[in-house]
Amino acid sequence: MPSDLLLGIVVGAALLFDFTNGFHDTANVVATSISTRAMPPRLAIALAAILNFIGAFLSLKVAATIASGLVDTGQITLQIVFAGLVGAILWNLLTWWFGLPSSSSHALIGGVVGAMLAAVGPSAVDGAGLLGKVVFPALVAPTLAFIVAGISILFAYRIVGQLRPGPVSRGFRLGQVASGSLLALAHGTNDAQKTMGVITLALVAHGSLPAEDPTVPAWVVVSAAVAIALGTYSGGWRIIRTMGSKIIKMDAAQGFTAQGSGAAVILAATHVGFPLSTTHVISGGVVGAGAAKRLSAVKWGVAGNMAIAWVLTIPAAGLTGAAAYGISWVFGGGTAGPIMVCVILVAAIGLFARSRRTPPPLSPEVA
Amino acid sequence: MMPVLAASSPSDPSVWSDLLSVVLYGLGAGVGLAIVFSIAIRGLVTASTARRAGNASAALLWGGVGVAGVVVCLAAVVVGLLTMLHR
Repeated sequence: MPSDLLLGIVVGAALLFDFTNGFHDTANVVATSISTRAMPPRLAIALAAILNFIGAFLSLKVAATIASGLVDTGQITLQIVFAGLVGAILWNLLTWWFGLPSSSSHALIGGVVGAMLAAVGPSAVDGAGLLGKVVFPALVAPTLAFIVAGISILFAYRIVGQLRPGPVSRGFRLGQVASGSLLALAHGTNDAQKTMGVITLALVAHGSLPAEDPTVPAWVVVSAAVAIALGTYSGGWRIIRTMGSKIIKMDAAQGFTAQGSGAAVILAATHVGFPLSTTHVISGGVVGAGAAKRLSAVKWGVAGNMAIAWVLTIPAAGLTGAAAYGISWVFGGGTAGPIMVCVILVAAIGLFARSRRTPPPLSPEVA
Repeated sequence: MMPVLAASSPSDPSVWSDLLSVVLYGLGAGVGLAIVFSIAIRGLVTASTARRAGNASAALLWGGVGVAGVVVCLAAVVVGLLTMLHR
């Protein structure tokens, strides 16, 4: 049985991932509303955080499918899950730093697959599963949202085009509040589940919960909900800027169609039981709403950087997950390995933060 | 170590039919919502203009269109909430 300390480390890593998931994905929910002034920034983020928190309680179906159908799940251990979480957290932080929206779910899958490759080898990864459950949906999500938002904005302009712009904009802004709220709820429901799933399964591996039909403990639900809500409230401003104003200059109708199309596509996927990445959907919707008005309205360079980040998410998180597993293995695996990975990570982040600090002004003597 | 994730069958063919359903539902719901909401806005704004111009019958007609659009959109929000609750 894994030690209590290892369990604590995995739970901590899962909650940290949940937090980064929250602040990384705040933009999906609030960027268009802030950009079109449907809501003041702080209010939009506070509302998104509250709805993410509530969303986490809406459904308690544990997301045990994080890696099922993708890797040989019979061979996954707590060390592999930990290494996968490290890969996902670092990729979330890196893409946030560069202001690039990317999928947290893909980062988690990439991290786990990478750690699995390092721990067991290629035989443990199901290429067909990756293609069908990750790669193909990653192509469909932004493309579908792009088309839906593009068609929607053309209809919207056609229907309201002759009216006075003031009341029309107010109407679309009101619609954005509703569609943004739905998105925030859906995000809390979908994404907090991932963390609940990881923690619950860690508890099963630890022996704290029965392997057959484990019930999610209340503290797991509450802590996952709090972590994602706090993350959302922290607000990933770099990504909000990219999504809200760097891809296209949005009017209220575009904001509504991007967000409304995103909500419709995500809920359609939820209804069918085929979760798509919120980030891919909303980003595709924003680009579609801009491109349908005028192709040159879209800053294709920014959209291209975003697409590159999406392509790199799984390999990069995978490499990091594999490296984390390798470091853990070098230090003897067990509990000591993950502890060493934590120490190295804290030291690396500390050094990075120190290097980014503004240098003090030159003293009069030196100047 | 105990395994922590349950196994499932890979390369399930239902993946592709699910994706097709997502495309159809997403397209229908997304475009439908935008059209209905735009009609609602048009109805309410035109009704307000007609009311100011003293055209009561047009105001009533467009107001009805607007309210109907709003009701349909609210129903869509409820369906969305139910989808989340029953997933």
